[in-house]
Amino acid sequence: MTVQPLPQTIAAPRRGAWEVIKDYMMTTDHKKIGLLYIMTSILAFGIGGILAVAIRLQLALPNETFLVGHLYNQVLTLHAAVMIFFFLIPIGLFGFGNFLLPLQLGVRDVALPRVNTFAVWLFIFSLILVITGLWNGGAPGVGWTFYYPLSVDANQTGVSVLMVALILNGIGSLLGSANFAATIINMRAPGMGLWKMPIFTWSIFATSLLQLVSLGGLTAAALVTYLEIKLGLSMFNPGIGGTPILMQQFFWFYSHPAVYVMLLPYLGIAAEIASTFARKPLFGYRVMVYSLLGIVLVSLLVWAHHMFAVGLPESWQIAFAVATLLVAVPTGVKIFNLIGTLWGGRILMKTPTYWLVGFIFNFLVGGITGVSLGMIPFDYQVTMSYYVVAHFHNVMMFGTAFLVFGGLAYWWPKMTGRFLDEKLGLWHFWLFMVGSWMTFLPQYILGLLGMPRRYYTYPAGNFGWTELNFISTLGALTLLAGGLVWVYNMLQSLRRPITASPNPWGGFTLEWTAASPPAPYNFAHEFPRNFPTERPLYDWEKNGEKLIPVDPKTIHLPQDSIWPFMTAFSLLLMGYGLSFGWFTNYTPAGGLQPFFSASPSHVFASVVLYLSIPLFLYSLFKWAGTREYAVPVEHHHLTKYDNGFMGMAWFILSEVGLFGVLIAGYVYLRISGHAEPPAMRPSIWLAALNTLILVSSSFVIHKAEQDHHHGRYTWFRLGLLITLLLGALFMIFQVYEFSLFGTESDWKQNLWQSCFFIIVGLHGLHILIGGTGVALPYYQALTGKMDKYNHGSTAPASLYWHLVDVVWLFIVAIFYAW
Amino acid sequence: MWRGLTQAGLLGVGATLLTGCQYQQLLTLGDMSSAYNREILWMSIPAIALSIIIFVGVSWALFYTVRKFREENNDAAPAQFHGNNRLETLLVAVPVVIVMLLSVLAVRTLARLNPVPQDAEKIDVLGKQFWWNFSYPGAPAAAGGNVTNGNEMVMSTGKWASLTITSGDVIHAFWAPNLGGQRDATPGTQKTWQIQTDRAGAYQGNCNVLCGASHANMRFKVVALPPDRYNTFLTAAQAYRAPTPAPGSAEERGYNLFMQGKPATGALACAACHRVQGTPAAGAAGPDLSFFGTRRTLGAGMWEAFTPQHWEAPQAAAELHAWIKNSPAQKPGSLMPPYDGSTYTLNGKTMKAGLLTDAEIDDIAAYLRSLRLPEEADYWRDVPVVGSNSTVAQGGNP
Repeated sequence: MTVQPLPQTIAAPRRGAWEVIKDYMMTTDHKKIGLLYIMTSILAFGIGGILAVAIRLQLALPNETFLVGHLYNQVLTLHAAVMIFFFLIPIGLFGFGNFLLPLQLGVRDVALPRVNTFAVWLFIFSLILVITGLWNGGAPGVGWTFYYPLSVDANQTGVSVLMVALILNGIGSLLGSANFAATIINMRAPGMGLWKMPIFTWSIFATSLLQLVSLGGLTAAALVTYLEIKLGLSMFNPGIGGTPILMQQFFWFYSHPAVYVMLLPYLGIAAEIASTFARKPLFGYRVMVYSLLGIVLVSLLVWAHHMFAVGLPESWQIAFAVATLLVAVPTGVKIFNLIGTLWGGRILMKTPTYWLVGFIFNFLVGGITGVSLGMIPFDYQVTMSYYVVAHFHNVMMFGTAFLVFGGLAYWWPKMTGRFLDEKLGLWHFWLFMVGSWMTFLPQYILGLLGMPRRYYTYPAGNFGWTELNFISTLGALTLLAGGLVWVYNMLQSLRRPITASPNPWGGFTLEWTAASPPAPYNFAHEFPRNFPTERPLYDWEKNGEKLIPVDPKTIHLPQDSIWPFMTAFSLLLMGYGLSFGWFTNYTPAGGLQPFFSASPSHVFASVVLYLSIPLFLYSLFKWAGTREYAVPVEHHHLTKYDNGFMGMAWFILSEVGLFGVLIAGYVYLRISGHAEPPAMRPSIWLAALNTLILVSSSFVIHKAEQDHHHGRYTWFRLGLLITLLLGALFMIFQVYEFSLFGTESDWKQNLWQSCFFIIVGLHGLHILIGGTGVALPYYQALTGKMDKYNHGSTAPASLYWHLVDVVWLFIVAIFYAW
Repeated sequence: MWRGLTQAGLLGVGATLLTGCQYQQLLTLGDMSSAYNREILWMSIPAIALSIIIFVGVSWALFYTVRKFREENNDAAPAQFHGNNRLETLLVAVPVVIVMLLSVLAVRTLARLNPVPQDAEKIDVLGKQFWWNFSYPGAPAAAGGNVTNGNEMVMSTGKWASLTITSGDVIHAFWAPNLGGQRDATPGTQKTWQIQTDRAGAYQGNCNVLCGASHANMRFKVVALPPDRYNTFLTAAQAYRAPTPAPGSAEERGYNLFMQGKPATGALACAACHRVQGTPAAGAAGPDLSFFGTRRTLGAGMWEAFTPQHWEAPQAAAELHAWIKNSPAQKPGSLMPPYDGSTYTLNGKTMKAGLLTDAEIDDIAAYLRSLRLPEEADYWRDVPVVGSNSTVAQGGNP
């Protein structure tokens, strides 16, 4: 896909299924990637929805036996995990985000298109990985919150695969977020300032930032849980002085902000719909952006409100309660400004408008009940009851998910070139509106009547329980009917011919200048460089400014490549191996056993694990060895940093978050006196030598970068080689030290040792990742892929290597010197 | 914002429903017999008022705007204004003031509720998969140990009960909605909580944190008694020693099986996991069975025996028999091994269960039924069951 012919949509012959699939495997087109996210998410919504109906059927009447005990727990865990991690988080941020962000910015793709392909497939594969758990013992039954120690309970199933899938999904998610942030900083249409970006783009930027900062919490919780299951390494085990609550701190440090990841993109969608359908500018654009950023900030400071019933110190509880109530302020601003945007407009009442108005009304109620939960004494009563279930479905299911439907209806012509049927759309809306209230209003009352969440059964005769549960189930069936209408509507629409004009609703942002659906290169024109407000199309029409036509033949796009897909696929295999096997036949309870004495499924998974590593390296190096563009192109970016460096810089934020969370946990355990180092501990002298090695390597790679910059390619290659050798030397000392320490005392019995292996080991893994990263430009240099114009991946690799060094300095301080 | 508007709705709905049933049947935090719930109501009234104002105001503004400005009603070209600074400042300031007000309310209520009351009655709460033990650190038993009861907690009315809550395995939570609030039971740490009520009755309690397959079957009862009856119970429980069965009786055969099991068929002794006050049985892996015959619930609330014959009633007796014979088949995830010789899986290991005959199981049941407090200390006598419209035994369902 180097030089584009005329728009393919004109006379594209019908392609075979394999052709289409191959296209989606290899594509770097942000629109196709966005559609992949959207389609996968809708599929996940279907799965999660059917599971929800199953739950409601079990609870329709007292003492039913449809889903009992562990089976019920598996269904509820999958329902929540699928809905959260594979529907609400990805469809807004990555589905709508990928499709629309470059279009709204007036550019041809995201900053790192191939990383984008890798991320979407990693996302899809993590869903597949969760599903493989079904025939490897079963799904997890621990709730999506996987609280410790239930997560390591010997009667549990499927926890390790959920942990691995969450980590893989998290990596994809972080790469996507870093990509968005880099795109926004580096690649806006010339003349578009940050404060002239469409509000949806702002919401994606805010959400990406939030993901990057907070996701480390979830990764840390999942990683430590996983390591305890596989190796007996624990930070939470109370038997050796660990703190189970620490797991909840890690978990909610991400999972509360995740609630806002499931909100902010949709607030952006709401604002776009309001502005377009009221035919007015946003009411208070700047205030809306500030409140987005305000929500990002405050949402990072409220996680402990999920843990009031734990019994944390009162000062903590009060601080978090006040912060929780405070979130109402920027959220309230959002609602007021949406109404303000509608005020005085000429409101076109189409399906998207109905979803918008429905959202505002429902979200108002969800917000009010949310504030009630921030009032601690009331929270003590209703947290973990059906009141909470109703509340979070109020803000998500019939809150933000309404804007998934609204947003899809709004951009459906842009995405497909067709329209959704208005009448069916309204049926869908009203079935969902009525169904939601029927399902969840009884649940609010059930909570106040004392019904706990996650109960698979309840006795007959409790006041009101039977009647309310029955109504709730009828509501769920209504929602199912609404969902079927929606799916039917979409499928019907796709059978109709393409009729949509570029701007069917009269929108004001740049995506409406592209064809519907857009050509692979997005725009066959350039834009005026004058952006007076966030509504360029309105301003340009008023000022008489015109788009400047461009010959599509002169447009170059990144070339397709199968290697990002293959790299992601190898990680699926690796994830499968890590979930159901291990490098050896080791279990914390049984110790090390002969490899082939393990169960056949364990042996199979372990073999897959070993095979996945060469496949991963092969695919990654092939990827690095394939140029992004088939012909030399001039990259333009708004800052002096190239896209690779910019993307890595944002990504590093997430690494800081991950190590920050883990180190904070360790420091807490150490200060509180739980984690005391054993008498025999790794010596500071070896660590000092390793510090010397690592710090020198940082200087070497910096010098290598300078050499490349000045065209001294031989010196450049030598610098990378020396960096790699120093890294290898470091690893050798580290492995020696680990082996020694592992035999000196038992990590299953010593909390400090456990923390040491987890955190220092994670750093060791980062050395391996960073080393692989440095090996890529070395390989590119050796195979002649680099010259004055092609910098390969030197800048991001070097930046990452510096990060690994800096983290090491912290580790020396807290594990060796302290 | 601003407090359960649904709760306000509930008060209305509740008032309507109440005409048809008695107030005491309401299983809810709306139970005003509890000082905790009264305190919450006090906090809630201004919050609910604010909620209603905000809900009505904002939804009116929304629907008024949509109605007035929809295309059908307004075909004027819309004015292209970008905001209104004064209005926006106001719309930020008003929520800030409301939030401050609510914070003060919440913190004030918290400060009044959280301190442990001075004359509170101390009770230790232990949650395990999937049952509870309630023991009284201030009431040592003559036979050794403290007075302890499984799955049924007895407390005094009019006096705060100060609970020290912990867990023996995974995280659970103690929640008795009518009595006020919940607290997690976390392994490795002890947390305190206070509950109180003015009205005698048997109240529903729940485990409120997902703890495994039978999370829904980890319920308990809190029986609140007037102070004099509570003291009678506690004194009798302190003096209590499990009755010695008459020689040759079914109870005696049951006693022997309970203490020794039946090694010939691999049936483990009940005493290995259960404690019975005044006997050598001192196991801690299962709930305390000292007053089993007085108890009216089985399997942590799965079955209730509220008929006058209690466990002698045919249905209840059948449930008890089935429970001893194969507990995991009755209650998912139950850690008590079966006694029917079947193969079962526990902690990922498949094992062969011990075998007892039906007659032997009945002997054990007979022994369990004999474990009764004296009549005057029977805490269930004439106690209304709150929150349920039935006081007869409920059919349990595995």
